[in-house]
Amino acid sequence: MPGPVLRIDPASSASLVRQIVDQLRVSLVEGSLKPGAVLPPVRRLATDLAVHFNTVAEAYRQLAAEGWLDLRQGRGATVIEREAPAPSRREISGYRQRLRELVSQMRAHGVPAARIAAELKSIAEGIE
Amino acid sequence: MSARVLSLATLLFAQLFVALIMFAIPNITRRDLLFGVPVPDGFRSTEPGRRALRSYRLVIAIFTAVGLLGTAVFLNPVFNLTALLATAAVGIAAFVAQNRKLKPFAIQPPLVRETTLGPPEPLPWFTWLGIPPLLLLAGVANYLHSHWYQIATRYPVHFSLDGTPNRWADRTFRGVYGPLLLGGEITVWLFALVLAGWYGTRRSEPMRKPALVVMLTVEWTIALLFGALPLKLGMGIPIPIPALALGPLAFLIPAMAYAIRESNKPRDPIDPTPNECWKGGIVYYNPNDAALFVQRRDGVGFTINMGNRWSWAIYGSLLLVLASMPVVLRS
Repeated sequence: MPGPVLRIDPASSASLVRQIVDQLRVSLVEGSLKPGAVLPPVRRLATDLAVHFNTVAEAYRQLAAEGWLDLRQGRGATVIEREAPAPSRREISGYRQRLRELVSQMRAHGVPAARIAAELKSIAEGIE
Repeated sequence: MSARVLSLATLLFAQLFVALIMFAIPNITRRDLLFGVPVPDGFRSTEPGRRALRSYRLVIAIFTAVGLLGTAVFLNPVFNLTALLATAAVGIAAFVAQNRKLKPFAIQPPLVRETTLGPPEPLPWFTWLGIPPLLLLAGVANYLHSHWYQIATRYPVHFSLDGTPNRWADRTFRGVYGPLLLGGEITVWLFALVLAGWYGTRRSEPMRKPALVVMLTVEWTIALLFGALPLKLGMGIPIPIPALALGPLAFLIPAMAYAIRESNKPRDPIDPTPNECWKGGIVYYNPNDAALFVQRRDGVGFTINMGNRWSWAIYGSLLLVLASMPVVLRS
């Protein structure tokens, strides 16, 4: 069965590392990448995405630092079991601020409040 | 047929062949590329598109006609070789000139990339068909070793066009095994290229397998030729000359036909490499792209990403093979 799809856009305002990290994290949180899954080697993924090796290596390192991946020389990147840490009040406050910014942007683009609430609920429940 | 007529016919054919290849390049390239420039649908039938094709073909035609005429009049090896190389060089220069002229019409293919996070894919089973040519050369070497005293003490290895021998080899280690060694070097190099081609191209590239088939065919052809020659020339085993001369074509033509047919199948848009990384529509240099081979824009198949450090290993090893020729072939 084919694995999750990774899509990057060099024209996006987000850096390539950020795009890779964010999409992999979504797959990890949603469970489409389960513990034990082996990610493509850095060279393979970099070749397929037409980016530099360091871009993929940095993305893998960031996810390893978050506790999602085990990086071992010669064995590639393996998804590992991860205990969700208890977020601090400050972290929660930071997420709240980011959500407020995103919601404001959606409202500014004409998305109704009820639709935003439904989308957030659906996403939050989908990744539980 | 006199040797002079045969020489002339061969040289004229070689020049015509090079000219025809140059002439056909726009035809064998994808329709959404013209002289290495990604162009909109139907651009070839617009006035700028037609003018570019016309100018390019006119330059090739003029130089080919001059070259052929000069060859027929002078029949001088230096002139003939110069004319042959000049036709190729002029073809490349004309291609680059048209590439520059068409740049204002270029469209940038979308640079969005997608890939699946599946497990590493195995090599296709037929990749291992790259090993038997090496075993074949080793087998021939072993056969020659075990029949050492049946090899002529001195035997012809090079002939003029009328069939007169003009170079000989002695029954020495280098004389007998030198060509096999060179064949082995080229075969190993080609097999390494097959593996590099598989791992160095994007998985989404539809020409990945056809290119592998062509490279394996070339490898088999080289091994068969280098293996057969010592047996025929040194041991006098009756292998027909037409089989040696035309045999490789029996392998290469179907493989090339398969690759061209695959390349002409309707498919996704062209490999979205950034336009600014292409020099003259021929050379790709992008240090930020991990791919070693990318879809070429001047014909069918792949070209090397010169921005990848491994490209130097490929060219360096090829130079080593070429540099070893005078050493291994001296007898």
